[in-house]
Amino acid sequence: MSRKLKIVVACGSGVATSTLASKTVEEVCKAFKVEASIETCSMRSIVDSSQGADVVLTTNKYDKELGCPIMSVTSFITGINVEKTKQDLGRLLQNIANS
Amino acid sequence: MQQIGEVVQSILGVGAVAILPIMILILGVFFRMKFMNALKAGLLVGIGFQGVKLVVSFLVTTLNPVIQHYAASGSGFTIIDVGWETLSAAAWATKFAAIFVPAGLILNFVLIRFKWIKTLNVDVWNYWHLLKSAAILSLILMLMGITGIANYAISFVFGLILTVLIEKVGDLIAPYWQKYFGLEGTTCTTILQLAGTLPIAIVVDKVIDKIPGINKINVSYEAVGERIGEFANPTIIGAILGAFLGILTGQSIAVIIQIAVGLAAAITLTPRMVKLFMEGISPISTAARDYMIKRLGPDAQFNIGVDIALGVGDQTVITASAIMIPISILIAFIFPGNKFFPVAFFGSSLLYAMATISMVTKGNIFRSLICGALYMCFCFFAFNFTAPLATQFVASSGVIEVAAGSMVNAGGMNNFVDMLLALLAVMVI
Repeated sequence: MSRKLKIVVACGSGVATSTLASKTVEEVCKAFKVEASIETCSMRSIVDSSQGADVVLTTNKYDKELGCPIMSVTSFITGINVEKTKQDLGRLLQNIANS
Repeated sequence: MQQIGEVVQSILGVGAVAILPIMILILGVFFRMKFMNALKAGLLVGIGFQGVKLVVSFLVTTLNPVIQHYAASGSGFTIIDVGWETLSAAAWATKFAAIFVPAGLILNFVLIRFKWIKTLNVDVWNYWHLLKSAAILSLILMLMGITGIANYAISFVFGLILTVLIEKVGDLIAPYWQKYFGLEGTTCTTILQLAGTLPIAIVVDKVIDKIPGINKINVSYEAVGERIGEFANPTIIGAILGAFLGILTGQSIAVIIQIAVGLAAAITLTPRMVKLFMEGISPISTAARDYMIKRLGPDAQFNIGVDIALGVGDQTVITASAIMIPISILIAFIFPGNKFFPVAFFGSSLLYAMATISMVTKGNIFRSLICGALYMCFCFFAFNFTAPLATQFVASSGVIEVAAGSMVNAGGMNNFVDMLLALLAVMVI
């Protein structure tokens, strides 16, 4: 049985771009039938906010490792390769939800 | 016919609260959004606007004891930092906002089609910077006695010229932006950075290049400390600065705590209100972007203009910003004649500036701090110089009422375009 995921979307200031990205993440969750709660945070507090999260999505480049899977969703902001990112994200979320 | 006129007049009379949602609804429908979604977006924008009004009003009330103290002594910090969010709310309340956005997008489309420009300026949210400057020009023209159609026409065209400016600069910096931030196919179209931080950073960086010895120093953020950035949490900063201002102006303990908590609350809540605003604008932005990309066709060459916020993930930027906070406060005190005490500025405005600066210094924290310090000197000059204009702009938009003896300003006015406008105001009024 798949469980409800906690998704954290991180962006520069936690305001503007993460809001844009979150909307698309919501769509992906619906399309791939994944139940999730979505929180936004700023890149500043990414380490703290990632505690207890199942997956962290960033709109900026982030090269470090966290205790959970990280994926870049910059394309949700730029519009370049959106479909591919949606598919990749959907599959990733399903994997985590079913694990 | 007359009844329709009266209805329109009464709607306009309610102000931005009524106009904004209707405007967004029209824009949404124009970009082929479903009616219900456009309506939802419009409502969210209206709600965000109300939210910003509420929080800024609370901020001003909280800071009242501090302002009174300085007003009574005739000097000191009498310009309240209301945050860029307030300026954005005021900008979106501009009467010609609804026509300006499509006009700017159409112009951009034409320029790309004819291959004069490569930057796709579809960051609709950041059109607020351009609306603000156009609205300020409109204010100045009105004070000069130019009203009506002439006023709107000139301000409108001015705004359009600004869009072309950022698109041109966007073209120029695209290679550097892509290289440093790793964001392929994009460039930055945030005018505050392009017409403010960027030129200053470039000049300072070049000057440092020429100084023997200093030009070799390069400090990376790992040397400084990885977790420094996290101390720059806006809530904590707001509380500390609030307490600081309270102590500085000799308030009682009770009032000091009130100001500390109040400021922390305001600096935390304002972005959340703006988030609602953004939730309304973002579907418009996405719809506009997809519409333009489809129309341009698969062979078109362009870079998508994005918000400077995308450059803030960089740890170098975050670390440098944290160190810049105490440096900026110091400059606030020693800059001659400075009346602006930054608080909301540290919420996110400083981060954005440091992102631009880091791009120029290629991640060299040492150089970034020097650029940053000099940039802050420019900022304090700009904040003081543009304060009367900013105050009138915000007051006339209906976002807040400004009490006599105090002024407001915020990150967003510290750029060359608005400085030129302030200069114009000084010359003609």
